Amino acid sequence: MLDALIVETHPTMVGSMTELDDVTLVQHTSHQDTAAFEVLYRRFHPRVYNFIFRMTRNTELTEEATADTLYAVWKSAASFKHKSAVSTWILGIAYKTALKTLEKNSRHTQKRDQSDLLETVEDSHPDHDPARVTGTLMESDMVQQAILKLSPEQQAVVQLTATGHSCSEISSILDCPTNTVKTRMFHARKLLQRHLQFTAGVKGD
Amino acid sequence: MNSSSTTGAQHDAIVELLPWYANKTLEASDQQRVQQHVSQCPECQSELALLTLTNHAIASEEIPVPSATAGLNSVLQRIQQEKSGQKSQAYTSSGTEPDNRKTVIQLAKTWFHSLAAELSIPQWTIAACAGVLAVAVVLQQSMTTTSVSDAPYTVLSSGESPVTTRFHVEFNQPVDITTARSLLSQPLENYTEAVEWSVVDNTSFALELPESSLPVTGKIELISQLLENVQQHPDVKSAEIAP
Repeated sequence: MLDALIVETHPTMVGSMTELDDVTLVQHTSHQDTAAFEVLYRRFHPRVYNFIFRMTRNTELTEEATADTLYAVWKSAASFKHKSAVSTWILGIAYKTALKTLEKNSRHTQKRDQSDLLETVEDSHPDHDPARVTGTLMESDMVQQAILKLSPEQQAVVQLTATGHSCSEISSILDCPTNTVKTRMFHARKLLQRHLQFTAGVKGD
Repeated sequence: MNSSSTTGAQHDAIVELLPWYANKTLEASDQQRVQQHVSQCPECQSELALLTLTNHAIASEEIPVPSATAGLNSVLQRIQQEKSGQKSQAYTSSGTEPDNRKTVIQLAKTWFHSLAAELSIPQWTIAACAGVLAVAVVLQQSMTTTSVSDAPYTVLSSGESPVTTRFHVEFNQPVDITTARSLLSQPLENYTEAVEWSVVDNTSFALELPESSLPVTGKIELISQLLENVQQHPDVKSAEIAP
């Protein structure tokens, strides 16, 4: 029935689409309706851009990966199976695209071996009190710097949690078991804690 | 520093849930369970403070988001090109643009190979002939006072042949002639209109490029460039100059 409706009204004006919910827009998009896709694109562009930028920290790569993500949404709209929210599905595509972008452009993006970081932290400040961390580090930029030291997979878990996603939603976006999400978060927290201890130590010295 | 009322294993399980307790996405029963534990566990309180700080740092970061219009237009253009069968977009943006500096020797090699195959004679025979021909050309050049670049272009044959350059192009998949023309419009550059197409079978085509459409000088380089352009196209299985 929906098919017939779309065929008859195609192409639909963008204006009449803006009120439609995400699922309906994806359905229209799966029938090659560029007006619906345009609304979907504009609706998700900021969220996808933010998500990818937090992983790449590069505006040029982020713009490219965002367009690639939403182009992939156009191409694979018919494969959306309603198992998750549209936003979860699109962020899943964005995550894979961001990882590919980082892999392709590894020399342009900040990377640091985590084991090196841990060694530095432990060797330099072995006697810092963990309780001091939360007491002294109330500056967001220090936390943001610490987050940059995480792997892209860990960064994704941390930022998705911070932006209000549940563990099972993150599991869907990252296409991995919830236990993997918990493990990545656990290691990310430990790494953040140690880095912040180190930074606090440097500031305090 | 666990609560006396919970075991180490229970504490560890609670610690795992803390990030989602902090962002309030746990189910109600879990949310309550974690809350009870945290109220009595200094270690979890410290962890929770760090998580709250981290979440705040991420959520409060202002990331300037550019307008969606430019990206949208480029994607719509990709879609439009795809719809019209012009997959050349991927061809040009893939970073694998053909190196247009294919040498005349490579072109000659392709031609000699195809000639050998056509005449069913050993390739070494052709290679030997090519060698003799090359020596003759060098000798001829050394004896003349006019440089090649200054010499006017003359057709060495009787004038009837070759009047066209023929390519044989095979695609990876069956394709109709209209789509095939469209696919190769970019590789053939400004000569797209001049090329005459004929169907060999459902994947192969014969392309004829009249000599009259080619420039007087640099003809061989141009043909080799066009051939390589076509060979580099992702949908093309093979392309060669037909004898």
